[in-house]
Amino acid sequence: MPFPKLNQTIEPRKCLNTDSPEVGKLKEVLLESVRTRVRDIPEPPGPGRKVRLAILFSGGLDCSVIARLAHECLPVDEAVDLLNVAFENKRFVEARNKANKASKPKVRTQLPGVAAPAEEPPQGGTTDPYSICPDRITGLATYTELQRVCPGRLWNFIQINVPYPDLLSHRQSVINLIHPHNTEMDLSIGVAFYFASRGMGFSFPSNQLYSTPARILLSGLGADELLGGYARHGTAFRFRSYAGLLEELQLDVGRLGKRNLGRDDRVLAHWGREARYPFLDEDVVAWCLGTGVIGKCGSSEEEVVEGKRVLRLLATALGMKEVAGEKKRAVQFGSRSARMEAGEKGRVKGTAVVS
Amino acid sequence: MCGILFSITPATSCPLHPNSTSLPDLISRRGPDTTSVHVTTFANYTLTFTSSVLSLRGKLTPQPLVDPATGSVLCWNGEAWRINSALVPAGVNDAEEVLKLLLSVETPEKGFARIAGPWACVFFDAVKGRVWFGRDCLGRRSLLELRKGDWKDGVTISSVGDGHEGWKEVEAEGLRYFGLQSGEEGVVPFLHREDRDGSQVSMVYTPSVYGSAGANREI
Repeated sequence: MPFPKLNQTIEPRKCLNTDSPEVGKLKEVLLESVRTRVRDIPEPPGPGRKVRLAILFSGGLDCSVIARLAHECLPVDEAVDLLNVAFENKRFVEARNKANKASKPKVRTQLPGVAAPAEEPPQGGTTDPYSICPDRITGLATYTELQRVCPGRLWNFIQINVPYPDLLSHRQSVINLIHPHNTEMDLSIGVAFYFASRGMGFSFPSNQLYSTPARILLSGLGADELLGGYARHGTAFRFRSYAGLLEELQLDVGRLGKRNLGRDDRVLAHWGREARYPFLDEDVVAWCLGTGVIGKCGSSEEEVVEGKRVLRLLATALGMKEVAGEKKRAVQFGSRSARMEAGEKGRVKGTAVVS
Repeated sequence: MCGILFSITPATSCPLHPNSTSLPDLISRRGPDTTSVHVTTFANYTLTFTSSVLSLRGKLTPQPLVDPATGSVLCWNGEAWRINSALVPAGVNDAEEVLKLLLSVETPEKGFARIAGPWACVFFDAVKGRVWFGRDCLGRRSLLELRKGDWKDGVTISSVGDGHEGWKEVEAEGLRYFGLQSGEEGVVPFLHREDRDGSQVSMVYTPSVYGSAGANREI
């Protein structure tokens, strides 16, 4: 496992744009990684032709680039499921209802064409709790973009809507699975992955109940650590320029193996599926470690603070201009699985031990 | 994904989790295609290997894999994409390839260093009487350990816990082992050789963490 040291060079006058060799090279290693992970997936058991691949799909930059590259690797007549999780979060629904009441007769804030799930017909004046989740909104937007840039491919956008009572009935199972991890943050990430991997939801736009037969799930995890996607990377750069950013990236590199992948594995595998992480391929990791910081993160404060510059340029080069500008959002906030309860209980800290 | 549940119990005592009915079920859920158990004894210990399989590579290959010649056993939860830099071809089961590799190398850590891809596994080397276990250096697969103190009094290693207290993550810092004859326990840390200057580089750990227990060889 020949991982090189983190490259510490800061090349003077270096710029990063769509024509930079780094963008092409990242495409090369990442495409090969995706190809390795999607070739020869066996047909799921049972009669008939089945979808073999699903993507944990928030609509954000990382998973969308992975989806776009999977399109390059798979026969065009093969459908791919995009699993998008959204939780019924009391705090946000209450806040939204209050706001709606205050400004009657406001039209429901829902994307055009996004119907509420069949079992819960939308009621006049009440907010559909799922359509207001950030990841649902981003997911649908990127789904549209994927359809545009991947002609011929059938993408099944699966709305995995998790009503609050469902969350409660599975909560203890997830607590057991994430153990020995035990904080509120672990749990909110755990439930998001748990329901995503369960793979049950409503097809878009038909709203038919759907359960993915795919046994392979691709995830965009790892890009933030390797390419500087967290807010703290930008903060470190603001205060201490590249020296600060490199120090932060070095910390991430050192922690890669200590990241919470064991926890995620236990939750995701519970439904008899396997998550695969193209960004955590040995060759991709080695390329990220060996490439200079400007070649990954960019040459201006604006670029570095936005994060993962080289990946954004790759998204642009792949025809996905909108997703190239997507902001980083943690799964538990994007799917609204964190801080579910109204009132005091909803304000509990992520580091608090689950009670 | 596949599931691993392995335990070492002194011949004189019962398994550590006799009443936990949820653990085998949790393991089977991870690998719904087949679950098998293999029990063997070595030097006053009973070794119980349970493996469930989610069949994704080649034909359905039930685990644990047992080498008929030596009695060595492999529980493999992983994807060996490449072995010795060569792609494991379509239609070939990677677990079988990994067992061949481990049986062919001088020591298991040299074998694991040649695998690219995520893994967690338990490997019993019946010739040397050593149980090896661990996770790849990026920690992409889960492995937990449960014991009450000395492993010689009983230890369980599993992909998933049952929610009861005491489970610990097996750190993705190196390959761990128990010597069934010697009674020793140790870790061979994952070290990475810097290509250019030849100096040793550690990816993820400080060697002194397990310093007293383990040899510091290099992978």
